Amino acid sequence: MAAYNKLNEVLKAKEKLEKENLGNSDGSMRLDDTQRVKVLSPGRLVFKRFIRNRLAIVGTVVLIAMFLFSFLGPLFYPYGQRDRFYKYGYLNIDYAYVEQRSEFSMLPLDEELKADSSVTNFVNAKIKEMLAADASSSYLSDKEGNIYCLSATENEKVYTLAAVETELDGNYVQREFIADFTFVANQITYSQGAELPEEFWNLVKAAVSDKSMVFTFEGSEYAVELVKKPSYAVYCTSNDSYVGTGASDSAFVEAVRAADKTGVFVYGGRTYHFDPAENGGVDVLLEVGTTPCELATTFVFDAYDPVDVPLFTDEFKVSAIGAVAAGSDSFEYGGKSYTVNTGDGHITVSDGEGDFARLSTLVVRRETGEDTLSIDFKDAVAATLAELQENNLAKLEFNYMMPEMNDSGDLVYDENGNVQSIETEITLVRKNQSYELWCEQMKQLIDIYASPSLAHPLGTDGDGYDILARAMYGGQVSLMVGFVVVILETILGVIMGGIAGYFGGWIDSIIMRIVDIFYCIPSTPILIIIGAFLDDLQMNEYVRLIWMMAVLGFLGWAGVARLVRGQILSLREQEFMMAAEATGLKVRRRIYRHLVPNVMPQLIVTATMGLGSVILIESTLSFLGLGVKHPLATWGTMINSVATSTETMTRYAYIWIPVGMLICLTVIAFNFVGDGLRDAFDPKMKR
Amino acid sequence: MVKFLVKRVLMACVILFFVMFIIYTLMSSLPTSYMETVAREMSSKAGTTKSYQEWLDELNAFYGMDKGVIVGYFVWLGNAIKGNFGDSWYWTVPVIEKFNEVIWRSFYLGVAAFVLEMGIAIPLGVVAAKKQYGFVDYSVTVVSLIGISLPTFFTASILKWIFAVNLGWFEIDGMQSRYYAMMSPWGQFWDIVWHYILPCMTLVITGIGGVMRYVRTNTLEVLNADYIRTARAKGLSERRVIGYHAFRNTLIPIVTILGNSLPGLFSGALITETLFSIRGIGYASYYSLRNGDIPFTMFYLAFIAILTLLGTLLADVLYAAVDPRVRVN
Repeated sequence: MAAYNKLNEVLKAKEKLEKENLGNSDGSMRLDDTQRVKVLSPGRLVFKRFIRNRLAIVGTVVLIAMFLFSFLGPLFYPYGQRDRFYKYGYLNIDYAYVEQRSEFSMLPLDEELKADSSVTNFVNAKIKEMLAADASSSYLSDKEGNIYCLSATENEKVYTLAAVETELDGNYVQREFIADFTFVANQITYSQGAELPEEFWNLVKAAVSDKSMVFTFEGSEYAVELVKKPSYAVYCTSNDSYVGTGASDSAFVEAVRAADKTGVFVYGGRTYHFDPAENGGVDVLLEVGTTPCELATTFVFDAYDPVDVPLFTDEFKVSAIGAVAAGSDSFEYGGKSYTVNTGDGHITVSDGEGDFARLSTLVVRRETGEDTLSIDFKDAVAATLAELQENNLAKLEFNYMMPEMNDSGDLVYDENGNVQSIETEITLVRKNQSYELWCEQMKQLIDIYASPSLAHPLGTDGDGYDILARAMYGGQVSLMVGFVVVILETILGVIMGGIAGYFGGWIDSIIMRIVDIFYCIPSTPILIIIGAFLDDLQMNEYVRLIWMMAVLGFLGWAGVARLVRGQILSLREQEFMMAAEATGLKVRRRIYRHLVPNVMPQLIVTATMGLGSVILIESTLSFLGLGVKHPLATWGTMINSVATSTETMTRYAYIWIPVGMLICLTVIAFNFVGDGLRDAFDPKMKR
Repeated sequence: MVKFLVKRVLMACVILFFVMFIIYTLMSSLPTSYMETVAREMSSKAGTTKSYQEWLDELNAFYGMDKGVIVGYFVWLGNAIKGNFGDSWYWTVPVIEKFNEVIWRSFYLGVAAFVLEMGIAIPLGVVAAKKQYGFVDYSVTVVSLIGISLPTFFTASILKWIFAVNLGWFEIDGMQSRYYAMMSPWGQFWDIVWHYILPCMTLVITGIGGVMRYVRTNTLEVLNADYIRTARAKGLSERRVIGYHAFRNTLIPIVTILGNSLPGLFSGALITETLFSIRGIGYASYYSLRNGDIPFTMFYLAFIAILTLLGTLLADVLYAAVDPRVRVN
């Protein structure tokens, strides 16, 4: 025990002495001092050589800046790559729709009396007919045979439709059914009690064969009619009959005979209608009275109060129009009395408090339907429209005081809280039968192609996206594509090249022929083909991105494999490999722990340079529209969005030039770093 | 030598066979094909009696697309060996006819760019190596690295923007001016040259970096060689050492560039031609590729593959012929 203590003391003394020697008088070192020669590890040596290379340092700084910009930038930048920006600006919009109403629309007087649509649909046509014929009334019938009477009122814009009540007066038969026959059966079948001799049958056949279809037999005239091939019917046409209930004197029968069976006829101050009867004749109906059921009108109701628009119910409209049609100047509705004033060329309905509504045939309606326009505005439109029609123009401007809007699309109010108005030019334009009003309004617009400003340092693009934000996210995609593809092709290349180089022989031959094949495949055309292929599948843009990376990696491994194989071929002959074999290491371990690390320097250089070229290929493909697809930002797509046409290229140079510079800078930086690494790893080239 | 050549050519044929097979498989599995478009058009024409499917089947049978990939490939190969590449679907003329029409435009562009590249890159590379780490060397390194880093489309856009849009010296794209037809033959020639300047500049800018670096590296290697030291030791002037002893040896590796540039001269610049609307083979093939024009695309890709293989072979043979230290085997 004591001996150890003594030894420790000796050691301590020696240590102390050494410390004193180190810190001795002039601070110089002894020649055999181990600290005098600083031994650097190979890694440190490479690093030292690397940082001496100015270009490599520039490249590294640029790359770090790019990474910070792309991956950290979005954390501090407020916008995302798909934040759309809006602005307010003047836009010439379709403000309102103008139409001179000429079509009549129906207003039912009573829900229960509503006429069938087979009648109401023909009202407009019927009114046109009446105007052409200058008639004051006309009859229509619906598909069930009910008869309606359409009659003009005192006002030319209102017609009434009334249901006609009738009672059966009699049945008129113009001709009598005798027989029917077919040539196929060659036999004639007579109706009951009308057996006629063989001679008649011959006459029938003769009439059909000479196509006259009429003949005379025993003083009576007969007609043959084709019912439906091959059957025919024979009628006796010389004696008609009228079986009536009312005043069926011969004069009346004569009137029935003379009347047009599709219209009406008047006899003795009474109106008769015809209705086809089942026996082939017509029923004669006597009109006994009418019940008004609907109004047809071209009037529309304009409210005088455009803010608090009253609801014009059908009942109100019926009452008002009824009063107008009857030429009366007042009507009652809902317990209130209204007056109708037709003095100043307009038909105005007033209630006790003032003007309430106006009836006109000019429809002026906002395109958006968001608000009701004032009577005053409509008057201005009507005046302009009259001028336009008079001069036969297609377009006419007028000025009107419109509510003023500020830069954010809100109304401007004066100090009293009223909406401020500003004189605005409005254009009335003819569009076929109707008209449109155009005017400039402050609207919310997508802020496209905004010039660089404080809010958007690089402006916005054609979709209203912020360019700086997209450049950041685009950088992420470009850098990520570069890394993924390079890692993929390096892994593939190292595995294939390692196997080929280590084993040699036929394995080497096969792998190297595959490498030759991949070398020979023209990659740009293939990528274009695959891009077009992926276009057709219309997949999600992220899935597409993954596919693109896989294809790029798969096409690029051949170069790495060739490099690794070449290196391994020379390395495996060296002593350390023999030692590795002698120690009995497994083949996999020998390749991947002893050979591949020795290839690392070249691999790193190739991968760094490869990163640059992959980014180039990616951006080229995206530029051609075959790589990453639009909503997803990459540098290539950003340039593609503006630099493909001359006009946008000229106007939006501030978009594509900075983005292009980003691509160039990144690729240049990768190449600088790769070049610097090459020099650092392999100082042979230095003199 | 002959044995080596025969072996290499045979190997190249095998590689070509597989390359074309891969490409054919890819092309025929494209869901978008020109034939579907044509069939759709035909079936929607007035008075047609056949449905879309009938037209498609008929067209597929006509072009041998219904026999499956492998049989179809052999049919294509058999025709191709006979020199029959069929009719281009997109350009609606025989493939060979279209090829003859466009190839020379690309070739002239390629040759002009190649000559310029070599003329600028070789002297600069040698000068850079002579004064390693000097100002010229740094400039050459930086410029060549920038050159290989510039995307073609961006270079083309920038050149267009500067020279065509802002300065207005050139037209933005196309091969001929508006009044081309009225010009004298000499005027027509100059007109085309005028339109070739920007595409040529694009090719030179993006292509020169690689050549320059290659020349510089090889010159450095040569300058480190023993015979240069010997030449200096003999007391030869630096001019003679560089211009006579070093330069001639520098040219040896450049022969490889010559071989490797062969496909580039004929295959056309796909993107440059498309962006500048130079109607060469690159332009024609770009639209064929995008529109699923199988006959033209197959021909074009076969053409490039053959050129690549030939180029490699040529480079090896030339190297062996120029450098006696290299044995062909």
